Amino acid sequence: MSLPKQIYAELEQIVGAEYISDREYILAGLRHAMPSSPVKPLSPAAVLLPGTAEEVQQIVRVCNRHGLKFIPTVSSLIGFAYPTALNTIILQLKRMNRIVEINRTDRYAVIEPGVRHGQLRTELMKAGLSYPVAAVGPGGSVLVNFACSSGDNHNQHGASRTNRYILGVEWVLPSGEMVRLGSLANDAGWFCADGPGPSLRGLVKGYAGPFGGFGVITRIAIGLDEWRGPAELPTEGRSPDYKLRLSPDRHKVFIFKFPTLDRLRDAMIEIGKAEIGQAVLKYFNATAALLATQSANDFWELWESGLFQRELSRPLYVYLATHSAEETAYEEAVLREIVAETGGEEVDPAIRAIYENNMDFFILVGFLQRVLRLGGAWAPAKLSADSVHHMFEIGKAIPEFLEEFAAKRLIVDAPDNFQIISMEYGHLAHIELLFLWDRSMPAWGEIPMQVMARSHETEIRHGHHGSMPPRSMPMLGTLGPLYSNCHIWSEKIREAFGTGR
Amino acid sequence: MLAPDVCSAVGEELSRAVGAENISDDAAQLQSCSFDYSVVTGTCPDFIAYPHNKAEVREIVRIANEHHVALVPVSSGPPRFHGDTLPSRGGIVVDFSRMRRILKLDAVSRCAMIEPGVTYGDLVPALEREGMRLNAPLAPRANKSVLTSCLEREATLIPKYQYDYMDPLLTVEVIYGSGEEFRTGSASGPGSPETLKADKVNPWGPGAIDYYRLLSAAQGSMGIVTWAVVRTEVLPTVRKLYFIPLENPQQMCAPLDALLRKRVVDECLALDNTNLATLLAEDPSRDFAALKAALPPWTVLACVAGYQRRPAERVAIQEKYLTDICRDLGLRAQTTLPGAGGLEEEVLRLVSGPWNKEPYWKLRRSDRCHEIFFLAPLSKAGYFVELMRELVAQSRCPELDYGAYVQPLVQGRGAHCSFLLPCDSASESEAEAVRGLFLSASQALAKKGAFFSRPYGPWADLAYRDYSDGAAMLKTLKQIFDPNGILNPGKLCF
Repeated sequence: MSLPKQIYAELEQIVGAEYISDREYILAGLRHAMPSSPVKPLSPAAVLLPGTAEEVQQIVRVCNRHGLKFIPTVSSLIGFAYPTALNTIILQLKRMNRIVEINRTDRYAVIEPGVRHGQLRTELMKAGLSYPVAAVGPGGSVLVNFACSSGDNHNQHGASRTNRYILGVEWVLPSGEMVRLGSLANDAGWFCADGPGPSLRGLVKGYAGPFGGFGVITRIAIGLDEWRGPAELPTEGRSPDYKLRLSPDRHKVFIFKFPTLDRLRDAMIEIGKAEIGQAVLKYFNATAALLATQSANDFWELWESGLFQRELSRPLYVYLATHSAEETAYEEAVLREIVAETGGEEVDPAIRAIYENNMDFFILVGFLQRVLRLGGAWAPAKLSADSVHHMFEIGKAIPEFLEEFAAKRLIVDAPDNFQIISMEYGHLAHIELLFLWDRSMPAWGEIPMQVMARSHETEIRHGHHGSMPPRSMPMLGTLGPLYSNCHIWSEKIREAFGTGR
Repeated sequence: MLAPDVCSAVGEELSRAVGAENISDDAAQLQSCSFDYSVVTGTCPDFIAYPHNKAEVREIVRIANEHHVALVPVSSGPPRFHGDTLPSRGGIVVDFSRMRRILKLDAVSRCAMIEPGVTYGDLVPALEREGMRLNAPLAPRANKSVLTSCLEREATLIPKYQYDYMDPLLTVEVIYGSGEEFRTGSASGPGSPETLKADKVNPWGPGAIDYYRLLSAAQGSMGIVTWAVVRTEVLPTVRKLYFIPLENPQQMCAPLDALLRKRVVDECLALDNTNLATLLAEDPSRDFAALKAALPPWTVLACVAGYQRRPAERVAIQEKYLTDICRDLGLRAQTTLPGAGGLEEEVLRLVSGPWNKEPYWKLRRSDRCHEIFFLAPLSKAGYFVELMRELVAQSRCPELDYGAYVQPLVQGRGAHCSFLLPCDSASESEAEAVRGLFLSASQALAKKGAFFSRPYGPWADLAYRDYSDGAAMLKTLKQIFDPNGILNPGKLCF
């Protein structure tokens, strides 16, 4: 359904005719179903491409005046980017792609929502700086990963989750007001997200973000770390078959396998306590097989060989990134000591070579799109964080609910396809379980809901903090009381500030 | 003061809630709650209540809501400096000194679960016995509440363990002003605290809101926290403290920044000779002047450490980085304290635990003091130190021997800047001049970009007068969490 002409004209006046459309063939591209959901989104009423925060503010005010809903988006790779109600407009923010400032001295970068990981990371490496790049591929929006969605990354053992790196925030509220958070509020610069007083930064993002459901963040500053690699990545070959090796004096990759999850857990905890390593994780094995192959046929051939099930069902990936050969040698010695104590062994050298030959797994994960190659669908059933110990307890309970789905051949039989990523030197860890299914099966749309429901049941039975409270209100109404009544508080806050959608 | 009939009803209900022996309306005790070392003017509370557990706290909040009585949570012992615990309109001071249990020490997941009355004097030795330590502020007083210090985002000594300004606070249980109970992060659920198996160390959420941030630096005005989980660290087995003498404060940024970029050091901070001498003098009235004269104008303290595995090797690598960085900058890192050799162990002790002597170190040279503190990028710390020198020189007390301290924070991306202004109450004119300097310098510093992120007392006006949008949002949140405005009214923008 198109916008009334007068409203369209008001919006057109803000962004210019070039950056608004309600043409049918344009809108058709904005209402396609996501691979993991059978639900066909409603059509937006129009799409706008604002170029500045001021334009965003004006658009939001027009929306409020006329009762329109709006969805800000950049990459549009998740369901939240699509309308669920009529009279919704899409704010496509890809034009707002300026790196406003890279401050080498105070180690922060100020960015707009359209800045992508590939763009920012490339510029930062030239300045000897870096940040934890969310494992979404180089095309993902940095701002969205940091402030609006989830944002876990392979390197958060020696760093943290992206939400920890948010500094100053400039935010167009659902009311259309612009508010600045942290030190920016008092014109003191971009260096701090919290204050003055109680930190409004708490409304921007919790464990996850609001996925565009709470106004529009138009600029953020993110904290930067030192980059321990070269100013330019030394790639060889062409994508997708490229290689990226960094100096072995300072960058080393190890993959060990463990006889039990408990031993693997103990190794991860000890590595954290020793404060060594940049990336330490138990990675997905089916996803690893997808990333290691170049076609669906290659994947099935590899998967059916059983190699990745045998070698990578309980793997520990460790990436050392140091400042000197001496420090690398020290970290390797400590690592080997811990692995020997906990009963780990090196995996098949061919598997380790995959990661040694392409360290991009720990940098931009430029080949991440391969996980979509099977053409079916995938979804996460766990997405949460707590101690390393607790995450492994959750991991051990996965077969309790997943095996029945595999036995009925509703999902790919990959019970070990979960990752546990250590963060902040093992102070916490993140868990994510990915399951894959075939969309050609009857009633395939029911599968993810059933898996997630059984996953929740298992968590409740064990007292496991294995998932975020769901975002949909009907489910939140049921599960919220089990999560300290968070649904009541989040609803009160939504009512007080509005949402925009 | 409450009306007599309300006072009587509240007293009776409080007695039933916490027991008559756990409330006080003793005039002297009430009077002692009405003043501190800040410039804030307080009023006498009507009661002091000493809860022992969450149920009693909940009941106190219910009584306060029913009678519209203010509640002022107080967790630390005196002396207090910021005015945040002074009642603005009487009411009930909720004193947590009897909720003082360490509920859990977990060396595997590196955390401690504590009640609000647990002090640095309680927790630091308890952690050491378990092979752990806390990232704590510089020489906190032994009777200071750890929970309050964390909740108020106080600056801590080890920037590499800070990923944002909320560390080391992880999760909390809170009774909001509405009387409802809530738990944050992975403490939220599923299920009750008794059935939940999580270690409660994920601070974020639940869901899309960081609820714990909304409680931070709130001076108890959003909710009353009944326990918190704080992160702890491995206790080093080898430590080596280095001193980097500096001639002027502009030199401090380069070494601190370089060390923190590489994550070389554990504790690191910069102190001027006034503060360092104040901390180290055996008897300040006797030793302070000579010690200060012997010390360099500024000293960076930087500690390298090894933990449980190959500690000596780790320390050797870090030492090499440290000395290389200093050499490249034309500085010298040394293991003896310049100008005061022999006091190195004492310095190490100062950065390792609470201040156990009397009086508290901030009151060693005078019986009163005012402290100005704020946040800035580390690169600007030297500028603010110079600016403060100019402001003092232009003030009515140009000879004031104030102390300065810069604490890098959050991996060195920010810094806590502190200026300690001593004043002697025996001289009314001096006290007035220092008070005037405190107020005018705070304003001047804020104008130049000092960020008063914890806006106590008069700083609230600096923080919120040009921040009406943010203040309006905070008031909206206050209305949600404390609809009757019973929690510490008159603070911040409330």
